[in-house]
Amino acid sequence: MFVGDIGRAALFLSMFVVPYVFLASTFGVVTKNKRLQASAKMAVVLQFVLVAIASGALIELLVSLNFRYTYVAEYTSRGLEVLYRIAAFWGGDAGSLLFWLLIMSVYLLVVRFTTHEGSEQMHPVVTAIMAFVMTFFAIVINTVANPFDTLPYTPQNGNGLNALLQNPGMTVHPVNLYLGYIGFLIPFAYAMAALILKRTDATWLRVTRRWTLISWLFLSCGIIYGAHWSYEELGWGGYWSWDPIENAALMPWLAATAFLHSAMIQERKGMLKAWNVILISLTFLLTLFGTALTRGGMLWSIHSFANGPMGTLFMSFVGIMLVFSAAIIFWRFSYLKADAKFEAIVSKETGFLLNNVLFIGALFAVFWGTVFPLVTEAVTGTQMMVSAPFYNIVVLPIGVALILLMAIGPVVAWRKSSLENLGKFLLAPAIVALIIMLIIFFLGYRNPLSLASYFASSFVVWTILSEFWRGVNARMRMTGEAAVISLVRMIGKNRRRYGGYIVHLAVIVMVIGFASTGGYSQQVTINLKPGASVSIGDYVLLYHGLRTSQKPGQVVLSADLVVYTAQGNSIGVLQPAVTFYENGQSPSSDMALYSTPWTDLYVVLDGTDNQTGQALFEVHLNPLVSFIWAGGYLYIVGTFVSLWPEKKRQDKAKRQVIKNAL
Amino acid sequence: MHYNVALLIFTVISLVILAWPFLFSRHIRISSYDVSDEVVTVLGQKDLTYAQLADLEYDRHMGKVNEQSYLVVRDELLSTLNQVEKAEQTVREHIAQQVEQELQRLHADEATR
Repeated sequence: MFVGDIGRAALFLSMFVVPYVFLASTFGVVTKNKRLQASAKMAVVLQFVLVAIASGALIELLVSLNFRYTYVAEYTSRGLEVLYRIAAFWGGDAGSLLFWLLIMSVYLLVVRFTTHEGSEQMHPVVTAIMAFVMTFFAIVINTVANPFDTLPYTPQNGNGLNALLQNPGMTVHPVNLYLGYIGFLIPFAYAMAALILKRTDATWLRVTRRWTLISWLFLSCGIIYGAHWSYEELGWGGYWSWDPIENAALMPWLAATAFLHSAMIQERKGMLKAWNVILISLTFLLTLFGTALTRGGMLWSIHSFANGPMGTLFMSFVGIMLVFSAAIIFWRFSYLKADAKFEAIVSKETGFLLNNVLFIGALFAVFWGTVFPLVTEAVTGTQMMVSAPFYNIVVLPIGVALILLMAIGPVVAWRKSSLENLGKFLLAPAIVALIIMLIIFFLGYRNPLSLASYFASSFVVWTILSEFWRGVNARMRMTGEAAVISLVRMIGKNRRRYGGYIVHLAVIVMVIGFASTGGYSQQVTINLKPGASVSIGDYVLLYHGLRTSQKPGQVVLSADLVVYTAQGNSIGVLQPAVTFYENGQSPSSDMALYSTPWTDLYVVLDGTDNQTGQALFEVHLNPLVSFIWAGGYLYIVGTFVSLWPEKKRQDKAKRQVIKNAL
Repeated sequence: MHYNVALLIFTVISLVILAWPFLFSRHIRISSYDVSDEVVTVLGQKDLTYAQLADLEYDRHMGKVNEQSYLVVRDELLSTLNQVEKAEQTVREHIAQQVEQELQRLHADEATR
């Protein structure tokens, strides 16, 4: 009990220390009392230490399988691997909330002890806002979902972690999502601080650019890893089902991506100040809304954790933060006037604006589709779910338009561009893209949306590669460097721009994967007797029979399928399986996968007849799925290039400008 | 039992940590005049103008902007830069003046003690 008591005491005390951080920071700013501000700063460290102790204690209880604690008994069991015992920390409601609080404490600590030019005044206000949000979490954990609650007796064994969560993805997907979700609290807090302090220039954007990018990267990785996990674990052959909780992660991503683009207009032109504050507030509110959906069990989803009071609490908190941010924006709206106006229709600014309209359009569609069941329940008493066709009809064309914009954006100048220039830069890539699309069409691939995606993707690839080529050429002319050195130095000196282009290329690689799987996947559902075979694409699968094996607490029933090529060469054996659990959990399906860079052969064992040895198989042939995962890695590389700090070269730039002027 | 002891120890340590700045730190009076806003605004404008000039040069080298537009925008930005640098000079002088006044006030405080 000793470790648990320490954890419980630390967690209890944190419920008083976090509000202290909020109050001391607020009154420290109002009264300009440096001692109070210093005390709040120390409280930030104390808060982190207390939450870290509580988290460490919970992990120790989970690893040592101390079933006296309700949380441990609910989410672990004997035989569960140590990795998943640790992952159970965020596998259940109470633990995941503590994990949130831990991440917020780390973020607050880093924010409070990091200095940026011009942000010192904002620190106490940012601290107060972050502490206010943390106070909510600390109270909820201590009063509604305490992971240190004990049972009146010690059970012999625990319920164990949900079988679907016993996947290495469990260590990556939720952690990335949490890091991303919570990270958006930082730019939100800075935006509110900037408004409160009437500092509505681009300082808060410069200070938070990396925080926003890091949060966006984590959220993106969380979504991509989630898709990968769904593909490998859920056994339905797909990776994205427009499930409400998937949408809950997608919505803040859409708002944040729009924000990343519109922030550039404020940084460069002093425009869209109000819009940027609204966008980052929307992003943060959507992360809370997503949490409410996940916690509240308001909508049916495989991701939902519970049906308790958590959803109501979180929705109430979303309401409080919505009112808070709207009130601050309204209060300071007069300070959010633009420093400049749009000068021309054909300009980078207009491109970014159109990009934002499309992202927000997609966000609205996803939001409406997600909340529609709640609306119908309120009106008719029955939840009417919105299925994939709605999203595919509404969101995918917006996606194609966004891709086309990715092609046009890089070649448009700031302030003013001419249509003649645009034509000069876009004609060749458009012709190449058209030729590629026609070749694909005549090869027999004629799904309209996939063809449109291939056209748009080729268009973007050629435009961006031309942009790299022109940049390298211009640099080679000016410096006389070799092409490779010129390329490396060009990227190094414009990391933000070229990192962005790499991210765009990564998105295109993923889009090719989406378009191919969406348009040309094949599926066969078939009942086979031992010795029978099934053909799909260039593969033949010969079914040999069933086998049973035992693991601690589990019985695994698997089928042997030998895979041959169309030419009759054996490639190997696939063993889709179904696992049965002795603790009464629902059986889980373990799909078998043969993956190449071009196709995935994906087999699910749907049912068996032990008397006859017959088995029901679902066989999928998914083209270019690997492009989605490869694109994800390129996406990370591009974001890192963009994140990497550029050297201060203002003096050099200044000398160059003056030299040019003379 | 363990819980109460842990809570007591944590509470005592927390109170000491939180009270530390009030008990042992020298009192710092914040100047009534805070110059950081002006500095940040001017430096922000300067950074913005340099960034716009850098973008303009980039667009020119990449052939995205014609020579006539380039010259017009460059002149406009150089003129802005000139104004910003004058404003920066004014702010610097203002800060120096404020620092001098603050020092004089501190000396006067010391002398009256």
